[in-house]
Parts: sequence; C-alpha cells; structure tokens
Amino acid sequence: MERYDRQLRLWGRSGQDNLNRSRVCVVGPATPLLQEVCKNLVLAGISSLTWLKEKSVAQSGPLFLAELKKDLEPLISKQLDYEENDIEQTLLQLHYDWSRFSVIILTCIGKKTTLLNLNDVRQQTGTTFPPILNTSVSGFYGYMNLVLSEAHFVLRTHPDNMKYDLRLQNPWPELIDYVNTFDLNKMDVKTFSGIPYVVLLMKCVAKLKKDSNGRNLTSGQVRDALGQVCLCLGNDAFYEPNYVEARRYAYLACSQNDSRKEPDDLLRNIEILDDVDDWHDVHNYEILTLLLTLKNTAQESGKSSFQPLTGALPDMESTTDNYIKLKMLYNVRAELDKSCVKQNLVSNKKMVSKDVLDIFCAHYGEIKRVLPRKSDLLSIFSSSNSLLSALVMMQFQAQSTMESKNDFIGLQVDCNYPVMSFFGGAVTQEAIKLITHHYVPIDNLFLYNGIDNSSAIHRM
Amino acid sequence: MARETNLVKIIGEDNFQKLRSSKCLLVGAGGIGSELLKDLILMEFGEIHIVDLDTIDLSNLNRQFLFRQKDIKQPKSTTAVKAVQHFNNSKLVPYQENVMDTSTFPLHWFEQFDIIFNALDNLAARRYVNKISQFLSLPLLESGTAGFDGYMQPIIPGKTECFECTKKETPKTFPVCTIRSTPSQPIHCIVWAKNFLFNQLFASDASTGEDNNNDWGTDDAEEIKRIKQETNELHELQKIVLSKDVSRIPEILHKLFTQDINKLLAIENLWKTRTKPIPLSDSQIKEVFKTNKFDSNSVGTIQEQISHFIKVTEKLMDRYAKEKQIEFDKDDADTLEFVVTAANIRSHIFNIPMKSVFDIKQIAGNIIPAIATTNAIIAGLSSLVSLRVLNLLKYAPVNEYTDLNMAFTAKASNLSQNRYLSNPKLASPNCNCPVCSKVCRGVIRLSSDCLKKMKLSELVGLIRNKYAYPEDISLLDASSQRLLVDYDFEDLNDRTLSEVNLGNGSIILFSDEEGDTMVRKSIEMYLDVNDEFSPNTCRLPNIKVPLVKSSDSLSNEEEDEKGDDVTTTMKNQEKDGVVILDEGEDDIVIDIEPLSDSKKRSADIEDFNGPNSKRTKLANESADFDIVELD
Repeated sequence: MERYDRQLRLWGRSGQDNLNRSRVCVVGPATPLLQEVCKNLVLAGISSLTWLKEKSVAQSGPLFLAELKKDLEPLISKQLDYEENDIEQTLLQLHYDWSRFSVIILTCIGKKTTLLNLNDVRQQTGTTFPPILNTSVSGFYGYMNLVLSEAHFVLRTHPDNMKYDLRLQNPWPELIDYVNTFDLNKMDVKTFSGIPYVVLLMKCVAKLKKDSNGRNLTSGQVRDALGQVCLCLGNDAFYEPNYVEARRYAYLACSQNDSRKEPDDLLRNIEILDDVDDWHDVHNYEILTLLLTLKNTAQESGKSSFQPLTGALPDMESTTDNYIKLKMLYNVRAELDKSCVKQNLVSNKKMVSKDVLDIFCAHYGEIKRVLPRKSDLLSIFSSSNSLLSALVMMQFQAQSTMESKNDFIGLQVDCNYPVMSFFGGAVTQEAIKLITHHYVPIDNLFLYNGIDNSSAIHRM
Repeated sequence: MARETNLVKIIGEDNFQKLRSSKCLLVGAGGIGSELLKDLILMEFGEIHIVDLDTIDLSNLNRQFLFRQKDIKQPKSTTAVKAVQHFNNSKLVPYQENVMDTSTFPLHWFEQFDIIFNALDNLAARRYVNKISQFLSLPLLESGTAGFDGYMQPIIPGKTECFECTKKETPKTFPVCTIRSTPSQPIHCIVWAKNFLFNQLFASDASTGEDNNNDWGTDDAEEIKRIKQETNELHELQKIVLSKDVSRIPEILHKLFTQDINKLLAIENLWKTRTKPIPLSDSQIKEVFKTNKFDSNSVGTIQEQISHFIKVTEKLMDRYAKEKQIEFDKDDADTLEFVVTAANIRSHIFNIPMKSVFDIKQIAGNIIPAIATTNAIIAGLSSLVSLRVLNLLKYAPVNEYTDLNMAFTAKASNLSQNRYLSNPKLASPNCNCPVCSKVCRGVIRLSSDCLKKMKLSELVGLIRNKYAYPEDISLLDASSQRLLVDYDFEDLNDRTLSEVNLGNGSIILFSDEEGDTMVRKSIEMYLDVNDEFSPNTCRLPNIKVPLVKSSDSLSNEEEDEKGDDVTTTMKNQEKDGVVILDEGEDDIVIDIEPLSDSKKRSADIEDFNGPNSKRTKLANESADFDIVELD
C-alpha cells in the first residue's frame, strides 16, 4: 500500500481496493492515446487490462511503449492480468461477457462499424452494461463522452467547501440538554467566551422557535436573535471570538442552508422500483440499498426523513473541555444512527460491505447520483456542436481526402503528442472516478481546444 | 520516421529544424518531470538537460512511470534518462544536483537554453529559477499539481506576470507559546514533536528554526522565561542521547511529560480559561508493555504509545551514535514513529485526541496527494504551450505574449461550474512585484582577477556613471541582506570585491538614496564570474534604468489602495479555483527561537555595519523579500 500512499489520500483504502480489483477494457488501434491511458490505469493500480485491438490504416504516431504487456508489467507490484483480442472478432461473439468490465474505454476508434456494433451489444445487454468512455483526439482538439447504462452513485463528492451536518435546526434531546446547561444570564464574559458557537446558534434557533414558528429562518433573523440572547452579558461579549464566529456562521442555522436538503431531495426521487437486484456495479447497488434503508427507517418511525448524522464537527473557538463534550455528543449520536441503519439492513435481509456503510454514514450528504442519459454511443454523430462535428468527421474519414474547410486551425494533424498526453490523463481520471465512486464524473461530453486551452462540458 | 513527419505536419519543416536545434532545461524529474521528459522527447526537442537532486522512493512509483521497484534509492535524473533510451531521439544530459547550487550551475550555464520547464516540488527552488529566468529573459514554464488540481503558467520575462507577481501561500506559522505551552490541536503537538523535540535530540547542533523575530504569542514574562529555560534543559536531554545508555530513556519521558508539564501547571495564568494538562504518572512511565507492530491506521492506548516511544528512541539513539545526526523524514519509519508517539503522548496529556500514524504522516510530512493523471494533464498542457511560447506554431502565431493562456484544472469534480479547465490569459507584470517590476535587472560579467583587484568604491563609481545615479546611493548584498555602502557607511570602500565576500552568484542591489520626488530605479545585478573572461573584464549590462517617482512621494493613501486592489484580485482568483499548488512538500515553519544562533547572526551583521543598526534591522525584517526598502 506504501506505493499508493499519495493517492490513498484522495480516495481512501476502499477506493484503492476498488481500483485494485477492477477490470478495465480499452478498445482502439495502437495509438499514443491508448498507451497513455493504459499507462495511467496501471499506475493507478488496476490489475486486469483487456485490449480489444482495432486494425488501423492510419499512422499511429510516436509510441513510448514497444510492447504493451511487457512494458506495463513493471508499473505494478503484482501480476498484471492482461488479455489482447481483436475487436471485430470479439463483437461477433454472441456470449462475450462485457459485464465483467468495470469500465470500457474507447480511444481513437477509426471505424464507424465498431461504434455501431458496440452500441447494439450495449442496447441488447440493457442496464448491466458497463459505463463507456469514448474519446478521440485530432490535432489540437479532442472530445470525451461518457455513456452510462445504469445510475452511477458517487459515495463521496469531496466538495471544496464541506458542509457540516450540525442539526442546528433540529437538535436531538441530549444535545438540547447540553445546550441548556449554559445559562447566559448567570455567567461572566470569560466563561461565555469558552462556549462553542454551535451552542450559541442553537440557543438562537430555540428562541426564534419560541417567539415565532421558527420556520424559514433567515441569517438576519438568527443574527438579531444572537444579539438578544447575548445582551445580558453586556457589550464586551460582542468582541469575544466565539461570538464573532457565531455571527459569521449564522447562515448555517437558517432554513435554506440545511445541509440535509440536497440528500433529502435525492431520497425523495428514489423509488422502491429502483430496487432491482440486477446491477452492473456492486457499489451502485449498495449505495441505493442504503438510501432505500433510510427511507424505510423514516417510514417505520413515522418521520418525514431519516438521515444518519455524520458526527463531524468543525474546529471552533471554545474551551477544550466544552469542545470535547460537544464532539462526544455528536460522535455518540453518529454511532447510534449508524447502528440504526445497520439494524434496518439486517431486518430487511440486505447486505452491504462495511467500508461502504462506514463511508456512507460518515459522509452522508456527499452522496450524488448521475443518471444515464437518453443519448448513446451514436449521439456524437448528430450533435449540432461544430467542434464535435468536425472532430467526428476527422475521426471517421480517410484523412487524405479531407479538405480543410473548417474553422478549427490545426485539426488535420493525426498525432499531436501533448494533446494525447492531456487526454490520456483526463480519460483515466474519469475512469478512476467511476471505479472508486469518489468525485463526480463529467456528465457527459467534454470538448477541448488545445490552441487556447479552452474546454467545455455539454450534455447530450 | 513516422514521428518526424508528424511533427513536421504540425509545425512545418523550417520550424521543425528550429525545434531540433533548441535546448531546453527541465528542472525536476519527479511526477510532472517524468511526464514532461516523455512528452518533450516525443515532440523532438533537440537537447534536454534534466536537473534533479532527489533519489527514488517507493511512494513515487504510483506516478513516476519511468521508475521501477529496483530503482529505489537511485538518482531520479540519471535513472529517468536511462529509462527513456528506447524511444529517445534527443540529446539528454542528466545532473544529480541542486539547481540552486551556483558553483555547479552558474548563471552563464543557464544561458545556453531556449526555454526552462519547472517541474519542482518546493517554493524556494521555484522562486530561484523564476529569478534566473528574469535575469536572463528566458521563457519559463511553471507548473504544479496537488491531487486532482494542477496549474501551468508560461512566464515571459518583461512581458507577462512572473512567478512572484501574485502572492504565494506561505507556510503556516504558529506562535511559540501555543506549541510550547498551550497546545489545543493535534497539529500543535505534531509540530512540537517534529520541529522542536526531534531536532533538539537528534539534529547535529541543537538549534532549530531560523527566525529570531519571535512571535511569542504571549506577553507573560513568566511563561517566556520558562520556555527559554526549558530550551536549555533540553540540551541536557541530548546528553542522554549521546550517552548511548538506553536505560536512561525513562528519564527523557519523565522530563518531557511529567516534570515540564508540572512546571507549566505552576503558571496559573495559563489555566484560567483552559483545561489543565495531566502529567504522566511514574507508574505509566515504568510500566512497559510488550509492543506489537504499530498499526498505521489505528490510534491505540496511551500505554502503547509510551512503549513504542521507548522502543523507537532506543533505535534512534543507536543510530545517532553511528550517523552523528538524524533528520526527520516522513519516509524514515523510525523518525516518523518517534514523532507520532511523542506527539500523541503530548496530545493525551493536553486532552487532545490522538492521531494515527497515517494521519500524522500526512501532517508532519506535509504530504500532498499526487496521481499520474493530473501530472499527465499538466505536462501535456505545458509541453503544448511551449510550441507557442517559442512561436513555432504557424496556425496560431503569437503577436502579444499576453494572448497566451495559462491553465488550471479546476477541482476535477466541480460539475456545477461546468468546466474542467480554466484558461485565463496571461497578465502583464504586476508593477508592485518585488522580483520583476520594482527593480531593473542585469548581469555583471567579470573575471576572477577583477574580483580580487577591484575595490568596492570602484564598482560603485562604474555603476553610478553608467546609469547616471546621483552621489548618494546604497549598495546591498541582496543574497545575504548585508549593507555594503551607503552615505554614512563607507568603511568597506577600500576593500576589494572578494574581500567583502562578493563572488560568483552574488546578487547586489544598487539604489538611489538622493532623489526627492524622482529617483533612479534600483538595479539588481548578478555577479557572473568567469575565468574565461580576459583579466580586466568588468562588463555592466546595457540596460536603461529609468527615473521613477520615489516611494516617499507616494501618499500613504495611494499605497493603501494598491494593497486593497491586490487583495481583491487574490480573492477573485481564489473563487475561480486559482490557487498555487505544489507537487511535493514544503515545510511547516514555526517561530521557535534559536537562542544561541540568533545572537550569533545579529553579531555578524553588527560587525559589518557598525553604527548603522536601524538599517540592519530593516534589512533583517524583510529578509523574506528579495528587495529591501530602505528608509
């Protein structure tokens, strides 16, 4: 694992396990792009690689790997499970097991029939067909298209700004008891300065709920309430760092900023109908199972929703003592919620791996679903986007007959190595996101212009 | 060959010949470096020189694809060059050296290159190469990655922003008292264990840190006194280490975790609003468990931490006797375990949660996540734009360098913003940039003979005449922040350049001290001493040094406004996901006082400057900057 130390910090041990277990299929002629993709995949730790070769008339461009299998093997610490076949022959096999692949990556496909036939196989197989990343590069330009067959669930989106689930609006009884142990009327400013802002904000929400119905709170209301709650301490209290923090984070207590809103919407949209056992990816199945379990738990207990508390508490101004007590409360509650989820799983005779359950509960709120779109592998042919049309035309026509009649300077070059290297990185990155279920993959078309490094993401 | 015809198609026959005859310098053969090397070779650059001091480590192998398990501990530069031979068509020259070493890489060595690629992992070297690129007007392609994030920035000296034009994140610092007396977070204990305790015990001379302007973070005289005293006592601990007597390890534990904590407890002021620490009891120290192997993911009990601390200290004492000094290295299991256990015991005492080896390694080693894909993306972008920087692309001729784009891979998962990459156009140099705009810049070429004979006053005269400076000037050795000459300090005037310790690689700063409203801009010059020059050579650069408004005449308000501008742009940039990142480790710096060391250093400076202490102090305070604003 030491070898993967630097990337474990991006997707954790379970993400790395997924990578180490995954089987990836690359399809296409021997091009620099294909070998860049293979190199990056093997470096990331995949251990099974299948290359379905397309015979190509076009020039391949410079290669840095002489023989794919032999040159890839030293990049991995264990045995590389490697297979090489002809794509045309493979597509003729009626019972070829496509579903065993975690991801299929198409690179610089030269024959339209390859796409047509693969698209047919995909349609016949149905939702258990693996996700496909189709990519091609020409000169200074390139595209990448993700075609999903089943909903892809992201276990952790790793947002830039982490939203903490603090339950400021709806604290549980033990937390309320703790908040009530602080009587602001009976303390000096010094003692006050050691109270975490979370406690102060909960006092504000409680006051607002008592005074009005407490619905649709705005941060302005919360700030006003904060001033009133702390008035008894005199003006000095307003300069204490914990008071300043409470003012700054007042928006966390207002209704529209409830960290649980987004996952709530996701839950509402998930139907029991989705609960088919026929899933291509076990993690997608597990995450869906967990979401349905939450729905179940809420229904059984007669609540509108049930979401496990993550237990995470941000750093804040406080005495160590108060902070630790508060943190304990959040931790205990998180453990309780998790065991509740576990119990419901058991009573419904569902199984979910421990890793997924742990991450699901500890980072609930980072779950995201990417739905398959109606478009398929052939949608790139009917796009109105001028760059994509030009790229597709270059890809499937004999290059010598093409006349330069488009707006894209430098499109008619078969291999521009740096652009291949760029796409080799970008495509593998998307494959890694799909395999690890960490980070949100592109949805669903990425276009790149290497003259000015501009890029765009479109939905097809 | 297929490869050549391809490239000829991209850039044309004439430009292909230009590319084949061009020389580039690649600084760094790590993550981005191995990708860049491969790309540059496949693009057919004529000659590539690769500089990297590092050796290969197991944790490099997830991305540095030119290296194998068997290459571990081998130099990166030479190993990379061997690994690419089977597809190489360029002349490759590797160096296992530090790029900042002026004896190996004097300024004129850099002059042979047409372009420099930075693939570095630290701020200091980035700054250095940036400066070199400014001195020589060499285009520089700067790049860096951290996890899924990365950036690439072409720097064309004089035309576009340089590396220093935007403020860089500086390493985090902590007040001394938080580290030494009142830790409240795991990081405080880790910094204590790594930057303070470890160095006190195992560094060659027991002085740590280098800043003498301490931010104590407290006014409590009693506490400062205690901290100073404690430092001296810790020297005593090093004697235990030197004694090689492992049976005395419990004494170390007792001193650090019982005695010192009790002393802290005695300062009552500290604990009025804080939870009191609980010192280790004697029984805890004596009771030694049999230890299992450390599990890197769990925390374990305090007793386990103590047992491991004793065991690993034994090992380190044994090593210290042989190695004479041990440096903390996150990949050196013994040093890491020492820091982990010491930090955790301290955390336990101060009621702070303990952390696992895995977590502490990240914090103490400043580990930045790194993957092959981001490096491939950034290296691809960087090598691609080099064609435009060298103006080899006929389709996209470069009329203005500010038409070029830099690139940031925005958080790769940032779906809502609907982009993968942002590509702002290059900006013109920031007129407040201390490196590329506030001073003029050039190279003085002189023979070593001249260095030995020429007096400082003669050099001053030459510079004054050439650029029309007034009588009243100052001359500073910018490399060491030493004042050499000014209006009331002329003691060194009769010494020769070599006598005042100027030599090859020295950078001097020459400033107008006379003008009221208009002054001659300061000029910073690099001394390039070369034996190949004829004996009496002292060539000053042919540059124009303009008159500018003096900083005194700018009203304070104006200055303030400017400051505001800078901060707003920084904020906007942050919003756009524009952050400067490193592919590697920069150190956390803490302001721990090196008592003996700092005294020594200020004495040195006083020696040189005589009565002019006010200026010395100024020069000292702004040691972080390369230019010093004299009053």
